[in-house]
Amino acid sequence: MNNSIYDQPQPLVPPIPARPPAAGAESAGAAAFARDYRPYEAGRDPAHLVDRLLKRPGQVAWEVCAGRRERMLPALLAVVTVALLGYGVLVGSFSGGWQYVAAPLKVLGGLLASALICLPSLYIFSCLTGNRLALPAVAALLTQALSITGILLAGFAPVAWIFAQSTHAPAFMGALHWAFWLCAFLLGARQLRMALAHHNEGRAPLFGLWCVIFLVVVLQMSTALRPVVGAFDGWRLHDKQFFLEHWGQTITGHHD
Amino acid sequence: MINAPAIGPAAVCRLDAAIRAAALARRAPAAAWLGVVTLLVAAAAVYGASFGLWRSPTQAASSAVKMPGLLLGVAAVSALANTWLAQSMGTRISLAQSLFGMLLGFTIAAVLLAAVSPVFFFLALTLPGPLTPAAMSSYRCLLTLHTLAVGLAGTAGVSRLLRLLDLITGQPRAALRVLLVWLAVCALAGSELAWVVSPFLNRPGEPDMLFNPYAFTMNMYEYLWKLLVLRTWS
Repeated sequence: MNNSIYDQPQPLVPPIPARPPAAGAESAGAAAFARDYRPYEAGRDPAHLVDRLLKRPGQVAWEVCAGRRERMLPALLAVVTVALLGYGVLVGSFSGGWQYVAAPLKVLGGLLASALICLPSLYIFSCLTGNRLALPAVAALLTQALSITGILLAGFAPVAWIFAQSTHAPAFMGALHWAFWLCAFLLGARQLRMALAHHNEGRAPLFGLWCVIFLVVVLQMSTALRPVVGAFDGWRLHDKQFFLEHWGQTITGHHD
Repeated sequence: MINAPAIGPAAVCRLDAAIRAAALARRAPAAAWLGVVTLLVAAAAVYGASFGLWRSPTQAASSAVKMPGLLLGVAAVSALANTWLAQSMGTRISLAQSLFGMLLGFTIAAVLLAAVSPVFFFLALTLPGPLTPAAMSSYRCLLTLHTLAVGLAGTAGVSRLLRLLDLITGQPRAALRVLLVWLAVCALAGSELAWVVSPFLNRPGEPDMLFNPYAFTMNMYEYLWKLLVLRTWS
């Protein structure tokens, strides 16, 4: 074998020069996450998992990174599915009819497809900043973040329902759903950032950029799958359109 | 023993020990060269396909071939100048080290671009196509996003290259000077090579060109001069 370079003792290879940690990186949230980063305690029912996702996400992160991922991942996917389908039914209730079926499928399918599209960039960005997590672990952490997003969206559902009963404007309801989704996603993404940073000396420098990419993909996905909020008009996809153009037309009421 | 000899996307982005060992050696092992070049070609081809797909499958295939060719070409054309310039600045970088270092930097950028290419594939499939009335706005949007992506990936590749140069030279200030000179040389060679192998994405309304008709009648700077200065004055 002539791959002698790999047989050299590791200390001969100098490490990459370390950079000082960013100021204020040790936030209270990160410290709590680190404290909770240990095996998941007893209680396997869905309510217990939801409780852990919200209160002790570090335990769930430990399970998907170092513990029994094969058992935790289906449970997380079930939480995402139930929560997003539930919120989708609420979204569909604004227009009624077939939207009770179409909207949940679009909400769930659109978000999962967006996550799949953005998973490679999340993994490579984390590798670029020195993270040693494997792709399945990063995928599982992303699923955990989506679970938290879904749970929080389900929490917003009654508020959204109240508004849906008092307006007939799809643009307003669309904006409201986006505001709720953004809040929920930012909190889910915060947990994801903490989990990634926990495995990389408290750093996740490119994570903000990834969030922007994910948001753009989700916004474009919602445009490709339109109408999600308005009246059902068949299962076919509409003409291709950029999401900013679609928003402009929705706000001004000038559709092609 | 180093237990991660595979040169995969994650190992290259992290600059794992095996990669650093190969970069520090006066002559990296053949397996390392092969791994880096294969990864560069594969990643750049995926990104190239996502670049051209909006226009047509033919353009996607053409860009998938051109993109790796462009990156390999820039590295090959700049290697000698970069090595001698680095040596004249007091470092002991060999030709093999400088070529391997540049290829690593390009590979990191290409891997990053390949990682975001699912997003560009998705946009190419959901934005108004090249034959629709809104084609020009789609074209501008895509071009802006690709410019941003290439700029950010290039910056990431350069910052990793700086760390590698730190290791090779052992002198952070010299490493920075070498990096700036390398960037200038690669930018000069890269702009001209990109001009020769362009277009990667034809404008809407233009015929489907796979090759630049002016590639060998004028260089990029002449073209820009004629386009910006002479046309403005006339």
